[in-house]
Amino acid sequence: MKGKIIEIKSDLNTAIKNIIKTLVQKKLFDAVFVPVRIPSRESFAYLLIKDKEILESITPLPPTMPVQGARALKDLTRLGKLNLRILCIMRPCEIRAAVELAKLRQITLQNLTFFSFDCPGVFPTAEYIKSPEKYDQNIIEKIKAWQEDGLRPNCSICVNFSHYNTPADLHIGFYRNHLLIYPVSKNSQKILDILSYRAEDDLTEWENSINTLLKKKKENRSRKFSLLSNQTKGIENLEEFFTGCINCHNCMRVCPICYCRQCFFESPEQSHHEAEEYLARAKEKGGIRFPPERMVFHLGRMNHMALSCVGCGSCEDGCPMDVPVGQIFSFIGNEVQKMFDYLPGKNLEEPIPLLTFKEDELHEYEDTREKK
Amino acid sequence: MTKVGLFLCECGPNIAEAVDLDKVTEVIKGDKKVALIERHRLLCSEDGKKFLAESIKKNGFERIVIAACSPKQHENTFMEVMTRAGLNPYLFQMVNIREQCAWMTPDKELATQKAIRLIRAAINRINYHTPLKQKEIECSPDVLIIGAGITGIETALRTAQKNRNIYIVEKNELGGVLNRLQSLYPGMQSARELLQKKIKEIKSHPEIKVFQKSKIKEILGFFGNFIARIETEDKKEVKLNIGSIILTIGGETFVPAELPNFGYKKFENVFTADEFENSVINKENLPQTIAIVHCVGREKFGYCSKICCANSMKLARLIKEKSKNTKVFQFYKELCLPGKEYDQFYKETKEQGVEFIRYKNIEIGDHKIDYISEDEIKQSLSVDMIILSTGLVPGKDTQYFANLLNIPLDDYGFFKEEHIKLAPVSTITEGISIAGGCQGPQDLNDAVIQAGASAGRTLSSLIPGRRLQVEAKTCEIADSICVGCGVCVRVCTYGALTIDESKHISVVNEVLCRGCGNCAAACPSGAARHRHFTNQEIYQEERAMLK
Repeated sequence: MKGKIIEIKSDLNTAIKNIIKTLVQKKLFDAVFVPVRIPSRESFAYLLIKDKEILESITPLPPTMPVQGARALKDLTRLGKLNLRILCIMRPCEIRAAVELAKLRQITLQNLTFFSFDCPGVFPTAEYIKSPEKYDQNIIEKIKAWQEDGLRPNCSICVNFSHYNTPADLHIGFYRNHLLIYPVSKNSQKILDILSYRAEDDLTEWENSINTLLKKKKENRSRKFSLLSNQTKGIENLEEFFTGCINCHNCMRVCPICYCRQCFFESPEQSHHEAEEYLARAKEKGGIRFPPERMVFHLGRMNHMALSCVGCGSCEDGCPMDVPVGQIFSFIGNEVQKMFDYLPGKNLEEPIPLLTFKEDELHEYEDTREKK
Repeated sequence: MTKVGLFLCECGPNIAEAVDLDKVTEVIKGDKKVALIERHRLLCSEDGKKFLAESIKKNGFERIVIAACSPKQHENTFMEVMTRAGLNPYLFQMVNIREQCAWMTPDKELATQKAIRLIRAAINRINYHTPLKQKEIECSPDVLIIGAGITGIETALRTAQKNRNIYIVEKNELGGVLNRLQSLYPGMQSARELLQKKIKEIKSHPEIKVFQKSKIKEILGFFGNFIARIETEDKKEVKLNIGSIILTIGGETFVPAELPNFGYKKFENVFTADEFENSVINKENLPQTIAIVHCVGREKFGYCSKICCANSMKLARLIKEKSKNTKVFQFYKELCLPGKEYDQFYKETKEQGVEFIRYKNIEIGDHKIDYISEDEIKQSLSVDMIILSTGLVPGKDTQYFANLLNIPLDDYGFFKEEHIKLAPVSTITEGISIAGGCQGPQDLNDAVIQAGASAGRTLSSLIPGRRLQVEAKTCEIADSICVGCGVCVRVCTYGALTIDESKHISVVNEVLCRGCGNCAAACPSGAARHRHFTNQEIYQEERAMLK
C-alpha cells in the first residue's frame, strides 16, 4: 500500500485541520461538515461551515459522539442534490451509515466528499460530560496505545474502524506521531494534487499495526458475542435483557439508520388501544406490563434495522437506563448480515438484500433446516 | 356491537361428512361476537343464495362470515348476494373449511378442531373490516395489437367489434412467417391462400386499422388508458389512445451458424428448413438424396421447439410431391408428435418411403453425414443435400418491448406469462396480453388458440361504454408518514408505485395495484397499508386462531 506520510508537529486535530484549511482555501470545497466543540465545552455538534474563521475551531477527531454523523447529514441532504461541494470528516461507522441511508434515499451523496480516519473509538457521552478535560487528554493516549477500556462498548468490539469496508474518498491513518494519507477513491487524486502530495510512501508498517489491532478486536468481539448469545437465549432471557427499558424510544431517535418520519411504534394504530383491548390481553396473559409494547418495539426495530445496522452503538449511548441495546443490535445485525453476505454501507452499488429476491435463497433456507 | 351472522355450508357431503358441523355450532355458539349461526346444505346453489339473502334481511346482519369452500371458488358469488342484500361486500370473511379442513385432514376430530379455529379467527377479524368502495375510472375499449403475423391478424379479427377500434401495427409486411411457408401440416393446405384470405379480411374490416411498415416509438400509461406513439410508413407520427395491448410479435427460427458440427454456411448444400421451404424448393431441381436433420439448436437453448418434427415431415412430403424419386432421410434425436392427427401423419409419411434414423451425435461433412446411431455405432451416409430443422427462438424485438412495457422475460428470452398453466396469455401487467410465438415455440394451432384466448380476455376486461372497475382491495400510502425511501417501489411487482419527487413520497396507482401487499410488508414506517389486510385485521385474526 502506498500513501503519503506526514509528521505531526502539533497535535492530531490541528494536523487534520491544516489539511482541511488548505483544501478550502484552494477552493476545492465550498463548505465543510465537521464536529465542533460547543461553547460550553462539554460536548460537540456537527457544523456546516462556510466561514473560514470558524474553521479554526473545528475538532475533526472528537473524543465523543453525541450525534451520529449520518443522522446529521440526513437532515442536510434528504431533499436532494446539493449545489455546494461539501467535505465531510467522519468516522468509518458514520460514513457507512451515510451510504446505507443513500440506498434508502434519505441522503444524497452527490457533491459530498468523505474523509475517514482510524477511529480509536469514543467515550460514552454521559461519562464525557462529567469531566471533559480528563477525557480530552485520555483520547490522545488511547490513540497512541489503542486501548479499549472505558470506551463505548460497541467501539471496543468494532472491527471496521479503519479503511477496510469504508467507502470514503480518502482515509487518514495514525502511526507513531505521523499522519498517513491513503487515497481510496478516484476523487482523491485531485485532493492529493492540490495538497501537492504524492502517494509514494510505503504504508506497510501502519497496515501491519492495523491488522494486529484488528485481530485483537475480532477476538474481543467473538468473546462478547458468545456471551450475548447466552444472555439472550429464549424469550425469558430476552425479557430480562431489556428489563430496564423505560420505553423512552431514545435508542430509535439517535439511531442514524432509523429513518421513518414517524416511528411505527409511536403511531396511533400501534400504540393506542382501547382499554378494553388491554383488558382482553391482560385476561389472556394473566397481566400485561405498562407502558405496553416494550418488547415488540425492540424486536420490531431489530427486525427493521438488522440488515442496515452499522454497529455504531449510538442507541446504547443514548439510553438513560444503560440497557446494552447497542451490543445486542450489533450481535443480531452481524448474524443477519452474514446470512445475506452483506455489510451495510460498504458499497453504494450493492442493493439492500430485502430488495432483491432470489428464489434459491428460499431453497438455501429449506436445505439448512432439513440438515438440522 | 355489530350484528355478525355466521353461515356454515355443508357443501353437500363434502364438508358435512368430514367436519362435525354440530360440534362447530355448539362451540361457536358461546362466542358473544356472533349473533346467529345458520346452516345450509349448499350455499352456492340458487336456493342457498336465496336463503343467504333472506337471512341477512330477516336478521339484520351487518357483517357476514361464511365457512364453506375456497374463496377462489365462491367469494365473488357471496359478495354479489351481499351487495344485492344491501351490505357492503367487504364486510365479509370467507373461511375455507373444505380445501383446508375437510379435504386434507382425514381425522374428523382434528378437521373439526381446525375448522373451529379458522372460524373463530374470521369472527374476530370481521369486526375490524372497513367497508371498501368499488372505484371506477374512464377508459378506452380500443386495442393495440403489435405484430401482424398470423397470430396478430387472428387476434385482430377476433377482437374487432362495433364501438371498438382495433389498431394493428407491423414493422414489415403483413403475414409474418406464413409468407415464407408453402403449406401447412398436417392437412397440407396452401399457406399463401390462407394468409391472403386473412389479410384481405383485416384490411377490409371497418373496425380494424392496419399500420404496416410502422414502428412503435413509445407507450405510456396503464390498463384502460395507454397512449402509444407510432411512426407510420410515410414517417408521420400518430398518437393512439388505447385501453389494452396484445403483443403478437412472434419468434424467429434459429440460425445455426454458431454450431460448427452442422456445417451451415460451410457447405453450399446445407440449408435451414426455413430457407429450403421459402426458396430452395422453388429454384432448384431436387437431387437424389436429401437428409433432414432435426433438433438443431435444441441442446443450446434447452427446450424442444414443438414444431420441427411435424414440419420436417411436411418438408419430406413437399419433396416427394415435387420429385418422387428423391430419397429422404429424417435424422432425429427425439420424435415429438403429440396430438390426434399426428400418428396418422407420421405413418403416411413413412409409407411414402421416407426413412427415419435416430442419432445420438451428428457431424455434417461435405456431402455426407457422420453420426453415432441409437445403438452406439459410428456410421456414415452420403447425401446430396442437407436441411437443418432449426428450433424457434425469441424475436429480436422481444427485449425492446419488454423494456418499453416493463414486462418480464422468461429464462429463454420469451415474454413471461403470468402463470404457465392458469394465465398463459396474460402478463403481470394488467391490460397487456401475449399470444403466439413471442410467448414460446408453438405451431399455428396453438397460436390461433392463444389469439382467441387473448382476444377473449381483452374483450371481457374492457367493455365499450362501461367504466373500468378497479380492484378495491388495494394498498394505500399515508402521505404524512411516508419518508420516500423507495423500498415499496422496488418490491412492487406490478409497477404500481412511483416516487413523487416533488414531495419525496411514494404514490400508488390504484389501477395497477392488485393488492398483493408486498409494499405494506416491506414499508418500515407503516406508511404503506393494505386496505383489507390492516395490521389490526391480521393481528385479531391470528390472535383468535392461536388462542
